[in-house]
Amino acid sequence: MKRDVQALVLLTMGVVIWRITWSDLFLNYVKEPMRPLLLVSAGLLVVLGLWSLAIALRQPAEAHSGAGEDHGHDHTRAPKVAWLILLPVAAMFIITPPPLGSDAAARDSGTQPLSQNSDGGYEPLPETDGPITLNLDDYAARALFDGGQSMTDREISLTGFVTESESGGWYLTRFVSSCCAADASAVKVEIQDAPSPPVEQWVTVTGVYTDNGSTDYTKPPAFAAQDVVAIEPPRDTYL
Amino acid sequence: MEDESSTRAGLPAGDNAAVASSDQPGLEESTASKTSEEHESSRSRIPWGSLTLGLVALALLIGQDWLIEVLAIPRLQTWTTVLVSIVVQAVPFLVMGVLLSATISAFVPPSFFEKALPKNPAAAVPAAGAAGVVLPGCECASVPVAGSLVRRGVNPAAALAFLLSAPAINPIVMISTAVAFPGQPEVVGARFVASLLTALIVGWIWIRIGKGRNLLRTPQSFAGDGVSKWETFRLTAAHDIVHAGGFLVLGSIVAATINVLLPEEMVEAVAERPWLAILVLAIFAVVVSICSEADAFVAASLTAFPMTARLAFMVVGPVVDIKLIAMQVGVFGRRFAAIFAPITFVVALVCAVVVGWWLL
Repeated sequence: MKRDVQALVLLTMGVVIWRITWSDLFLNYVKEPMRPLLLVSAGLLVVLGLWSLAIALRQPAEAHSGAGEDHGHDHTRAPKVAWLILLPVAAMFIITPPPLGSDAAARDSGTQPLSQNSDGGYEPLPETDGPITLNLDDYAARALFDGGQSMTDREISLTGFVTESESGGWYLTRFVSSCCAADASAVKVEIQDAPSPPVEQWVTVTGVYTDNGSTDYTKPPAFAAQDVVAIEPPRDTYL
Repeated sequence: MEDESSTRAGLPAGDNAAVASSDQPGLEESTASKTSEEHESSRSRIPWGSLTLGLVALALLIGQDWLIEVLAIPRLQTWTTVLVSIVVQAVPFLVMGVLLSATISAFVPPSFFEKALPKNPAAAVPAAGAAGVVLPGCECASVPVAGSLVRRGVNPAAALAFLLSAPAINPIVMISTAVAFPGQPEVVGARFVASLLTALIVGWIWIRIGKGRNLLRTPQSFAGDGVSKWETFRLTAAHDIVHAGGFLVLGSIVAATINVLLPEEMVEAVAERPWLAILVLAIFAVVVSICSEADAFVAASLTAFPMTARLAFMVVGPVVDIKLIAMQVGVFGRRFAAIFAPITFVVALVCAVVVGWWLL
């Protein structure tokens, strides 16, 4: 890979990563705390790219005929592989891959990405005027591992996007990721008493806990809906 | 793309190849594309590579809307999202590791390493392995750094012990493991012990089998007479990021493809059988190529699996996975990776099982 192309690849990497981090798009792929790391490394890539580009353009190729960066390599594979860097860079730049949605959720099998609270017991929910907002994985954990005890007689508000269930109903779904979208798993809650909005639509559902009639931890918990409101997708779609 | 191999391909890759980057004032006015000197006919004056890149970028921009429409297949979008997320997650650590390795290559004199590490290779291995505690960051960082150490003359076995221990026992990974398994400090301890053991055992094995045989390609050095330290730093950093980055993407492509195609039901059906569970999670760790800072959380979510199997996932993952293998091929050569990866896999698996049985 020629010196100037290398520099351009570095520069492009830096610029594209800077762009998606500055604009919140990076939240489609990784978590919020990565922001400063991404900004710094993107900045370093840009600096390195510009520096290398400046030198590559100032000094014509034959100045390096003594031993350039590819001389002494006994392989030509590595330079060619390096072109692959442009694949995710182009993807980010051109099509901006969307956050994981119903396709990934549909292929996600039963086990909910929830770990049982090892202290035993869930904290009682704070008092609120009106429905209390819970994260979907919080609700699911309390429903599955605590029998919903901490949620009796409370009006609850849950947010997620719509996916189809095998039985013809619908799930409220959200992805939980620890590192990045690559390890994300779907939390699903079966919504009862409400007709299904369009698949992929983000909604806020208000209602109450209800037993899903099963002791199987892999079966999604249930939620009895009283109200379903369509909303814009949140800034960070992952939990 | 032009063929870059020159008539000097016979140059041994490991020797200090001096880079003639000294200023040539007489040529500064002319740009690369306009000068008329023709020392080697294989070098074109026009920057074809850059021009092609520019044209392709332009075409993509113009056709952006059409592309978005055509590529809006949900499965493809998921694949691309997963691919991009692995790469984006890894980039800061790659950059950090490369800058550290370039610093080592450019600014730290070889004599430092001669003094810092014991002469006896058998003692250098544990010293280097324990030093892995100081490099926070995922495995993407450790490969370039280990390459740098080898360039600087550190015994390969010691550099490899460092390469194996750094991603697994540094403080960030230990903390993330503690957070992922609250109230279970024995998991953190087990991970530390098993990973360090793996690094040491593989290092010592390497001393044995590496005797008198040149099994790894010494990564090319850019240092030499007449080259400023900053120039060496820059060349090393640019070279390493582009090369390791390419292999990172290659590994991520494979990981994303398997991630999107492999049904999770298959994984869970295996969880009931302990030995199978351990083996499958170990292989899963190899295939999925998750950064070592995060694999603890993935392990914690695999609640269906026995604890020892999840330990195997956490011990094997940082030391051998598709992404790492690809990067090792890029830095140390294919022959190296073909020997190193299986040894590491087996040792890591055994260490995890033994430590898991003992501590968990």
